[in-house]
Amino acid sequence: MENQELDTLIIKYISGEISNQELEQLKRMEGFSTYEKILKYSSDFKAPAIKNEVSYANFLKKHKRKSKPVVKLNRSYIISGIAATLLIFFGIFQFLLNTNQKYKTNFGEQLAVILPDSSEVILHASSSLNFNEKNWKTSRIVNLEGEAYFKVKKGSKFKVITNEGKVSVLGTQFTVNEQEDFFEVHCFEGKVMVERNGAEKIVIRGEAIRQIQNGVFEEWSITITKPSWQNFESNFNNTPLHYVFNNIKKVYGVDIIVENVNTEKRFSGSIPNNNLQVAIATVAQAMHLNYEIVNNKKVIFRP
Amino acid sequence: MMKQEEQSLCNSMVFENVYKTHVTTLRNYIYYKSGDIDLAEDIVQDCFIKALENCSKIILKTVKSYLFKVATNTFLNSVKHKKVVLEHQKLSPKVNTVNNENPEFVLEEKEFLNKLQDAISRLSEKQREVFLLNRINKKTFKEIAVLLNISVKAVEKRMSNALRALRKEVEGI
Repeated sequence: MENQELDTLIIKYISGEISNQELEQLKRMEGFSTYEKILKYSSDFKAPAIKNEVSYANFLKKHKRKSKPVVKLNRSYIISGIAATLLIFFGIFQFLLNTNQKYKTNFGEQLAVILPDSSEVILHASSSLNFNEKNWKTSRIVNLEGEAYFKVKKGSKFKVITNEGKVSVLGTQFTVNEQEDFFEVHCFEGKVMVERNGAEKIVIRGEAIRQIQNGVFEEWSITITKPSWQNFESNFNNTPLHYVFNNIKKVYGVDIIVENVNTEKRFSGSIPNNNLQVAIATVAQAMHLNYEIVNNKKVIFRP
Repeated sequence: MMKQEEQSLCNSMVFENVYKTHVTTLRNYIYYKSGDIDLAEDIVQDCFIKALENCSKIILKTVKSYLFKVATNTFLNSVKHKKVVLEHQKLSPKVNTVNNENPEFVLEEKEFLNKLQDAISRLSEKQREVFLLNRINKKTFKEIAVLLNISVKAVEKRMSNALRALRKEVEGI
């Protein structure tokens, strides 16, 4: 009981809330002298001290040491992040630019192109070919303008898309020749499917097919196994004269002027692709025409 | 706007001020618990680093309790305990030469202080931190209660327990 009272009073004494009367009472209690001594001496104790200035300086050092590497790391992360992002964008950009492969030939040129699956394409004069290398595995699609010979490796469907029509195959050798309103396919091996203006036609080995404007498919058989123009010759089979002239223009890069000649007349035969004189003479003779060659640049046909 | 900025802990002037105001109490508090002044200083500095990192989130008014809480938690994570060794003014030889007291009294006093010192170091952590925060750092019970996040009653209880234990030790009962 007394102990509890002592405790209460001593707490009041310490916190300075004790009244004079209580103080008198406390002073008479046993053990107060010891308590007073303890309190008096203990308040003179000191914990090991460190000067504020020293402590703060040390703190700043420590903070720098601790935070600096973090900041550095963060920065380098940000920088490398930016660099990586740029690289990726650059890479994608490059990739997109590069995946669309484009090949083009000028007058009288031929160009052999090996496709990613090692199918071969030989572009005839004044033609262009492009395809997407990136999607090649899933879709073998090439866009063609002009004339080309294809030797397609077996595999998924191979498509040749032109302005005039589509040819799809699984693996063969064939040529596609498209001009305005004119579409001709020669098949040397296997089978190809020709699609034009919604009509479909299957062409088998040794056959050739042609459609002019929206006319019927013209079919005939061929005996050659390679396109004639690969041997510097152009082979025509019952072809309207203006397509023959177009072909000459393409191969030789010349202007052809026709005066009073019916160009719908059809021509059959072979003309060389490396001798303008002979080529023109052959056509003129077969069609009973007169001609004049001006500076190897211009050819004039007259009846 | 200006006033707000001034009162933010992120302001280095404000921070330095806060540091210098609270560092001693905080360090002592950890020291009373651990008896290791180097550890105490370490913990206190870590605790200020944490405060600086979160300076935007800390309200200046509550920074003190924030610091004490972080310090306590950090201390609990480091389980190093050492004997609490306190220095006493009267124990240093300088003071003795100034005070011309009779040798017997000086000797008795020295003995008492050694006993008291021992007794304090044998107090429980909770009793010691309350007792020493009150005696050395002159914190009122109310202030201690806020710092330790306990009630004033609990502080008083710890204080009287501490006193009883000390009395027992020094009287040699």
